[in-house]
Amino acid sequence: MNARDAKTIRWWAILPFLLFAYLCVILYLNLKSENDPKSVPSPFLGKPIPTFVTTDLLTGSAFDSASLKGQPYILNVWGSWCPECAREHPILNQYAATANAIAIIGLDHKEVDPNDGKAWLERLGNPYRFVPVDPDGRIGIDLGVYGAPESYFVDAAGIVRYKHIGALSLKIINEKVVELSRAN
Amino acid sequence: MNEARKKRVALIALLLLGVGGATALALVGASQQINVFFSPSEIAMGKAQNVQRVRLGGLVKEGSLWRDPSTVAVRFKVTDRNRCVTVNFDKILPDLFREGDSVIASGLMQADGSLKADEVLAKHDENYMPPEVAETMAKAKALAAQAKRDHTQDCAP
Amino acid sequence: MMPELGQVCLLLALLLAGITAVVPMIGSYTENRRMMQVASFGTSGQFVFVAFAFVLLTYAFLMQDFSVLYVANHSNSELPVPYRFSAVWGAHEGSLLMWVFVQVIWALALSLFSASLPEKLRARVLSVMSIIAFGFLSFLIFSSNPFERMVPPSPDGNDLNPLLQDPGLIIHPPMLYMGYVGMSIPFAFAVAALLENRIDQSWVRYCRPWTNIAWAFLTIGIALGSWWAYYELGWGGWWFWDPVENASFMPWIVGAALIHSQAVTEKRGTFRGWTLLLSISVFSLSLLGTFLVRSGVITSVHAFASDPERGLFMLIFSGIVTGGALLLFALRGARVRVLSPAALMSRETLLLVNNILLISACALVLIGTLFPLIAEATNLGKYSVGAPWFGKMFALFTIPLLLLVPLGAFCKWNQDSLSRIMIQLLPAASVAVFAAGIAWLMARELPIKAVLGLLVAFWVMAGTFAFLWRRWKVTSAKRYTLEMLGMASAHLGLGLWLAGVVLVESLSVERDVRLTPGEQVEVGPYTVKMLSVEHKSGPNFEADYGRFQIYRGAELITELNPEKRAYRRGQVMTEADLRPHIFGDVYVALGEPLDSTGNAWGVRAYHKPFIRFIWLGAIFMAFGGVLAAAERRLRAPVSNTVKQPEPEPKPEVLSGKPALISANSAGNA
Repeated sequence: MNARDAKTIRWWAILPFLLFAYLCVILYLNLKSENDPKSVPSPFLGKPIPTFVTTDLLTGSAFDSASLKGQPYILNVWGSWCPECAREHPILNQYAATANAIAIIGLDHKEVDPNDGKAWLERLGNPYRFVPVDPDGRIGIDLGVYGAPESYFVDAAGIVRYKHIGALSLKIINEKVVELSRAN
Repeated sequence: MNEARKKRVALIALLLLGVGGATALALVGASQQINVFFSPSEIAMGKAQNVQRVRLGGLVKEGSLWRDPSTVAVRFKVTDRNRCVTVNFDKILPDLFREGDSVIASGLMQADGSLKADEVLAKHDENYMPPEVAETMAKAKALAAQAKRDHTQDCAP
Repeated sequence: MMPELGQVCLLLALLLAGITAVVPMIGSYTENRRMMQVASFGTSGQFVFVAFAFVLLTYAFLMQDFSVLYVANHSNSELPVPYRFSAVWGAHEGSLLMWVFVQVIWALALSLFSASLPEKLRARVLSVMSIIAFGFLSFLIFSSNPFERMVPPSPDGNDLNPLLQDPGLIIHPPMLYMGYVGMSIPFAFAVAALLENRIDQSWVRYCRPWTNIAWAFLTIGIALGSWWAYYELGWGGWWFWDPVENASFMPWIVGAALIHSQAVTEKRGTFRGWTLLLSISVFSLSLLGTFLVRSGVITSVHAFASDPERGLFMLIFSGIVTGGALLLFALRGARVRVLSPAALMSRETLLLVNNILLISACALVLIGTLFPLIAEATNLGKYSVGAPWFGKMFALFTIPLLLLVPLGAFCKWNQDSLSRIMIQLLPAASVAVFAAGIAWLMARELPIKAVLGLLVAFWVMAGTFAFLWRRWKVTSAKRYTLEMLGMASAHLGLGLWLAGVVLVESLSVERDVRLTPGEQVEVGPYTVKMLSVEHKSGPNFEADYGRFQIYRGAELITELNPEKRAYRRGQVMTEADLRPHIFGDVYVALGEPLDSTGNAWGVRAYHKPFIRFIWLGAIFMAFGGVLAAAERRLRAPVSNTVKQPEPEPKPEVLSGKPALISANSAGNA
């Protein structure tokens, strides 16, 4: 094996590793863009959240989302059919019990039978100030909801500051709530 | 040239030929079978001018489903609440196809601006919307707001 | 209490995996026998704990313990008993537990059957297997715990996805996992060999049966998936080039390449570096597949619930395992020659071409699967790659490959002449042309492409029979070794598979029609007549079912009852009904009611000629893998002394003097 051959073989040997590294980079970028809220195409980021009028699940009275203005809040999209929401719920309960917690509004999205929603909240606890209903999903479509759970962090002026897809964690909630109060 | 050298040359030639030929065929085939996603607004804006094979996503406009009385052919409109596109499909619709729900239709654009679909996909799960459709809907809402149009003015059923 | 016990078992397994990953490895470097012997104990221990955890999860499902979050999410009180079993592996957490379970089963089997291996090699191989188990157990325990409790417990569960409530789906994932995970064995051997700098071929012989069996499992798993999709999804399709399907197919393709490369390395001592690289690649593709399916980067009806956080964990783990192995290869494996000393026309060259074509096909599938991701990440646009592209590209590489298949068995090692081989294969070629001609006469509607495709399929089958016929004349005990029979079965299966694909794709008939009771539709040689649509209730669903009579000419063949089910939890499912037959299925699916009276229905009727050949071919291929694995010659002990790699022959020697190479060229097994 002459010197030239030895070098050629060496170079070929590192090629698979390099190709694999490149592949990992691409996949990582893809993962990040999924995870990164800024790349989530919510055209309402920095804009006012669309308003809607519906009824409240638990009290039955009318609910107008315009009445929420003046205070920051978290709009949490959930449904009794959503297993990931069940996982997220204890975290919402925990947050709601802390001092100085801002209001959480629970949009009951695509709930076919309101009794299912009521039973679910009874069982898992209710951290929500209001529970507007969205039985056919129209409100969700207006908001650009993909599925559940999803949460919008809205400041006192009604501007959407952050949209989170998937279950929240206490860390994220605390972080984003601080940002909300700073926004005003 | 000794045997080893001959083999090396033959192998490299084979590889180059193979890669070159495959790439050429891949690119040719690609233009016909790789689909690009468009929303109804994008099609209305003319973005799909030079593309024949289109994947169209949005919601099925309520009241727009028309069934041929003697066959299974259907026609319906796909909307993003800003604009609509008419779709013709001559096979059986998927299970979760509903008016007002999300749909993705792929096929060939016709000269009259309608889509002749050879595949219609509704969501595979009751409660999830394909991300492309959700994104389309959200963007279109902004467009409709800009044009100061109400979302019921996208098209007649 | 039981679920907590399950968690404890997993933690203990994790601990043992960690110990077994580290101690025997250190022992192999310090020549400490006792440390190396920890491998057996550690491996058995991991098996015991993981098996127990698996049993506990199954128990939770059987007893309908809805205090366990995973059980509550994927089962409910109305779920029939058999599906409570398959629900265990029906979603992410449970299927990951199954993955780990299969991993420790393979490791245990390896540990029990490796007495003939040199101690150092054995210690390192089992250590690598434990590293993999450690990674998956960590993933399981820390991000996807199947035993997580739901407080307060749910009174009833969500349902199992109705798509999964099916017998085919009970067995498909376990078979697939046996294949995916089984490929960790050649991987572990490759890494151990690189560590020991033992780039010779003795361990490859030991590896061959394991690789063949894992590949056989993978073949069955993929075939089951295809068969299930065909009868369950109601669209008559058997392969969709869905990203998840592609993720399982890529390890299979490279696994096939590996099997052939191992054969060359074991018999001739060449292709060593290549075999090493392939051994690493197959398992890496299994890991990549797992990542793709669970991370959410691809959207597919198959994909598990996406979670980018889990995806990140998997990516990092795969990166470490695969990246580490490839780095090791770059540093150590480069010492082998790239080209073998054999002549241009030789069995070695044919098998090299086989490998190149297979790898290229795999690369194409990979590119097609990842292209939408890349396009999205680089803002090129939202692309999706359609199934026809994959089909065309795949055919581009497989047709040349299949043309060469019969030559392999007839070509001598080291040097042969093409004309000599072709003369021997002339009868087979004639038979193939004749058969293709007959097929065309019997089915004039076949397009030219299909007839050519059939010609290739018949060529592969005829060539295989020609080989068996030639061996018949050999009168020694080695007339038909299991290895030869395995090869024959697998190649035959390949021919059957291609024939099935060509025939069904060119001759299948699909009719989407509107029918009222009493009306009928022709589909191929059959007539489908609708009698009525009636209502019935199932354990967890309500259904409309159709009564359809199938006629062939005037003769009534059978009645089919396709259903449209509405599950209590909201999902709507089409249950097609079909009449299976080796020469063609008749298949009927209900569409939807087309008018308010429910009298007129959309109905899909298919005739699928020869589609069963596709799965029959797969069965032959898998059987071939098992036969080859049983070859007794391969069970000879692995030598203890490390053979030095053969010195590079001087160029003059290469001008074809077969006498210098000691292998027996007449038997050519």
